[in-house]
Amino acid sequence: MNPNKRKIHKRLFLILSFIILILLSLSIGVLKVSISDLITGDPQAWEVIWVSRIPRTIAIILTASSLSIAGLIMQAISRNKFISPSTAGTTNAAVLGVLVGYLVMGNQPVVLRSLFAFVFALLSTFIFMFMLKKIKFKNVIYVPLIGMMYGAMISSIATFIAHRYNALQFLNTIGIGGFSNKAVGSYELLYLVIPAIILAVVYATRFSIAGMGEDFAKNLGLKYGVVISIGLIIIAVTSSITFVMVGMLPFVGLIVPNLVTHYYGDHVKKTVIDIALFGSSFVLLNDILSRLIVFPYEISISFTMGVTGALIFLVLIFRRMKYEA
Amino acid sequence: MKHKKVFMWLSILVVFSMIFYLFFWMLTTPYDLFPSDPLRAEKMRDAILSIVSRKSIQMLAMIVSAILISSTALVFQTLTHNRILTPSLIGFDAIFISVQTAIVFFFTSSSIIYLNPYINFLVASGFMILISLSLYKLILKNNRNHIIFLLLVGMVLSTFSRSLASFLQNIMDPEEFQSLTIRTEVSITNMNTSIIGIALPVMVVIIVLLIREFKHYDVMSLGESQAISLGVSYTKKMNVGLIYIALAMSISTAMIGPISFLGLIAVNAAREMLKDYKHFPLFIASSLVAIIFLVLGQGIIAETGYLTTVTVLISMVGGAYMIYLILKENQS
Repeated sequence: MNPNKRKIHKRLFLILSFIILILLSLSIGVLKVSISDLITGDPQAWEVIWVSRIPRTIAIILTASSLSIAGLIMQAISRNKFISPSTAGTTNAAVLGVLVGYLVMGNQPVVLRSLFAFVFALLSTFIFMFMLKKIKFKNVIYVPLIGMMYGAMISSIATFIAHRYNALQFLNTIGIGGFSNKAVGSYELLYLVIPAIILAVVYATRFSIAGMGEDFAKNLGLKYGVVISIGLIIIAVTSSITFVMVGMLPFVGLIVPNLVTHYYGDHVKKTVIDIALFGSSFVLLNDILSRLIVFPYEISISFTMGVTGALIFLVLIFRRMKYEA
Repeated sequence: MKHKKVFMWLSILVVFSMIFYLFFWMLTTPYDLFPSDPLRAEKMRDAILSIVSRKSIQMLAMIVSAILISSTALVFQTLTHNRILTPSLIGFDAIFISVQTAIVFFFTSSSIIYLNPYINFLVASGFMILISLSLYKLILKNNRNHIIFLLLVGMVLSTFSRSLASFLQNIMDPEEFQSLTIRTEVSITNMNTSIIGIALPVMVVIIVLLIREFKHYDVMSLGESQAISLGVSYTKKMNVGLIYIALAMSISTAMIGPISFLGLIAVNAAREMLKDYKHFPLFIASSLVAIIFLVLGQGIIAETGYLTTVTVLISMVGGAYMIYLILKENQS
């Protein structure tokens, strides 16, 4: 089989599994909804679908695809496969932002909360990128370790502030969430990531060029600073909104781009759609798992993602290790 | 000698911090410590004695942990040929929490493994050592120079075990969960001094064993090929060093909780003060710095009414210091 054909086959398979997972996700729930009910137009069955199942599925798709794309952009412009919003302090900064917002203005609507998270996430990502430029010893694994330590420092600032103002309990609740409460009226803010996704697709080629290095990109006539800033804004928007709305989803931004670029190469334009599809399928699968393991109850998706994501990531690391050896 | 001067100043600071930690509270206490009434004077003497002896035990735990943390960080930096990494990145605290959670989940909180501090300590640190050793074996068996990979795997494993632990904590009985927090929320302000009788001798033995290895590490800091041609069995010494590090980190985590940036601050400060590469003087200076940070820091925080915790303070200072080191490294 020629490689082009193989690629098309892979894409077809990806789309097919994506559709199957959506249907599965729509059909699982405590209230039984059968296909015959839907066909006969049972109003109760349709209400369940419209009010709860579809919002949940949309929330998963939006979150997963935007986070995976954010990870892809971050890896492209930093030229490092082990960097993602969660290994570069972005998530920790979002926590700090939510905390500061809470202390300044008290309990606020989700929009404001996301705004605080966004500002802090953006600032911290800029600082991290600046540090990245200064690091001399650019080992692929050394850089994310620095990112983790940087994140730990931001977390300690958050703990310090929370301790000072008696908000430790609130701090512990930040980032706990999931898709279980997503229904009509509680997920719409997630639509804000759509412009970020569109922007990412439009700028895809420019991110790939920026990933070739500052001098090279400038020689090709790219406005390097502008492109990097747009990339960082996309990263900050998606990670802060999804963080405030659904909480921590470990590993999505890290492993999805890694797995997809392994098969499709590093050209951002060619992979961005596949990454969105694959990321959504991966999170849908995890969500279905966490709904089924203790049915009719649910376990937190962060737990399922933590376990499956860690296992996949370990495989990636070991493969990389063989390649480096 | 320049070294002697540095050691002298650091030792003076250490003694000062110890005195500050043990006795400063006497100046700020609202009570009259030396009443004229002989009966009350005797009672007050007993009270002072019990406070000072409690503080001494805590201080002892801090001193030994500080020495352990700084010496393992020093050895780890030599093994990784890097001045910014510390072994706490492997994520011993996450492993510790999940081991304790698993004990409560599978044996309940009224079992002897959980209630008896000694047995609990032995089981918990035994598991932590077992996990880190199997990690070493898995990663370092074929490719010897992959300590940085080891850190990355450790980082992933700590997310993994944290997820697993929070899952078990979610589905366990609320009362069991309450009793679990006693063991999992260990920190400087909430030390687990009940295990000091067993932890202290082990820690001292590890420190002595590490000091005996220092001459090899001096050679190993030249790089692998140089060290081998000078007659040091590099791989063997590295594995031994990593085993000591696993032991030391598990014990200090069980006793005073995780303090991620202490090793980084202490060792780098020692390097800047001494401008030396030999391990023994660096070991002494970094241990003294670590003791000053822990004991003086804890003393000041206790006096100011616990505005924050030493762990948070050290993370903030250490994080800023790390960024400074990265930026400086770039200039030179």
